[in-house]
Amino acid sequence: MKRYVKIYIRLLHLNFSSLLAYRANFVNSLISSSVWGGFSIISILLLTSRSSSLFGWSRHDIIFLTCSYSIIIGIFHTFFSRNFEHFSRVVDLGELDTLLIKPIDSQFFISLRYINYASIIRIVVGFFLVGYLLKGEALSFVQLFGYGTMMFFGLITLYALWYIITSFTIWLSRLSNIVEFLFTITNVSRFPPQMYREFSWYVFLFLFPLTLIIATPTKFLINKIDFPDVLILIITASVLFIVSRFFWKLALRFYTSASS
Amino acid sequence: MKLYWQVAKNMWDQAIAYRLSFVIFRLRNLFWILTMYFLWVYALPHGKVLFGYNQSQILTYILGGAFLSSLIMATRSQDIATEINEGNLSNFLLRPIGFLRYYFARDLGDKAMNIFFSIFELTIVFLILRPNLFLQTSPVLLLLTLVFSLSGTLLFFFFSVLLGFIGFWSTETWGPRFIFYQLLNFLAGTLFPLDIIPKPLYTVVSYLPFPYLLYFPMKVYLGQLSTIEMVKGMAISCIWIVVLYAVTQFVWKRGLRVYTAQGR
Repeated sequence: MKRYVKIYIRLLHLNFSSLLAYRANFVNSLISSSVWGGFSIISILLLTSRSSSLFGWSRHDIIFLTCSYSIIIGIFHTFFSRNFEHFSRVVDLGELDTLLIKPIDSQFFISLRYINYASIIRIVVGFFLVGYLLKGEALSFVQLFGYGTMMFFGLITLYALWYIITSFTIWLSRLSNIVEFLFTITNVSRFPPQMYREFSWYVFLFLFPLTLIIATPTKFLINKIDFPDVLILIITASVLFIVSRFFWKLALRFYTSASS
Repeated sequence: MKLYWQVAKNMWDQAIAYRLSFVIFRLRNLFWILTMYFLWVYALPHGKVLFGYNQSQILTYILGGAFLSSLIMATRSQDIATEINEGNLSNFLLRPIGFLRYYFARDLGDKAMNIFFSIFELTIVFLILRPNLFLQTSPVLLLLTLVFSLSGTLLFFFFSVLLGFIGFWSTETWGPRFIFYQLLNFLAGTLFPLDIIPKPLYTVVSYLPFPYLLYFPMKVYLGQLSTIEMVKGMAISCIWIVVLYAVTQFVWKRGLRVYTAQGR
């Protein structure tokens, strides 16, 4: 464990160095992230401007949900999503060979080696807006702790789902746009879960984990949390994470390598 | 003409060659349409009016907009920047092919493929959800919708090509394109009809080219614009087409001066 912490700190340093080397890319990402964050919040403000509640959530609650989305997706984009963007190329070009022979857990390395510092702006914007919406209203320790913990489990759920789905590239290495599909379905989590009950049950079942990722932590902020909500997210995150490990190991058995 | 027809056909064949990627792309679109559909079904229950729209009008706007975007916004011109950065542009310069015409033909092939699948998907959505849609019966308005859609297609094409031309000066082209798509979501009325935004802001936006990509064709279809508004809209749209065409030609010539065929 200690070794992995050391490796990760080294990766943080290396990624910071590459950020300094590719400054234009960093500025690009920074502006894009700010625009994206700004537009998603403005859209929801407009959509809810003339209705006091939607799907059983008040306008205030939905805006909190959007801010939480900005924070959690910001964290996800900072630490994970760039790795998934590289996934199909790593498999398709046979780069996975060099990765597998390293004395390190392959899932750890393939999913954590790139860090996109520019996305931190989304986290900052999200926290700033949450602070603004609270208008000096103090949060209890339980609320803060619950928000942080549920955010952690939400991120594990999102990570595991992305990992399971991108693992399919081992069989279908040409599936380079699977990540774009994942970006789209992750959007599901920005709306209240009640909205998706209208989908057929099997679609809802598929979307169910996604609907928990943002909604459950947000419920802590707005004091609407129930014990079952907490339990469901923890169980979902744990099960999906274990499945992602098993599925990756299973997928590797079918990896045929390329170019080597 | 025959040459460009072949280019469009090649594009269709290419999409078929990478079937799974294309299916994933369409699935992504379908997913987004359903999300927006359910959002509006809930936000605007049957019998209620919000922002001057009833449920039937708003669902027509969302689903019709989704269909139109596969005509207007389907493009392959994002490849232009890569062609420039990898030096492949030299292949075009050596051959008797018009660069813009080549890419427009490619776009047409891509659009044909997307329209075909869009009809298929929307039919499924219609059969399953049976949404209460608004059907325009006036042939004049239907024809005008088509005309506005075609002008929107040209506007989008010039924008997309110009974004690709950034490749002449920088390898970092994804950022501006990403921001452009975010702007489109907002200012072209992809996510919601533009007239729900505050009036002063709407007035400013109506002089920009973005509303004429999607919002205007859909408003014409819904029959919610007066003749004067339509004439004004068409005039603004035409002015932007001319301006963007001139800018595209200017940037192309300037770009070629700095093109170094890097990597060749």
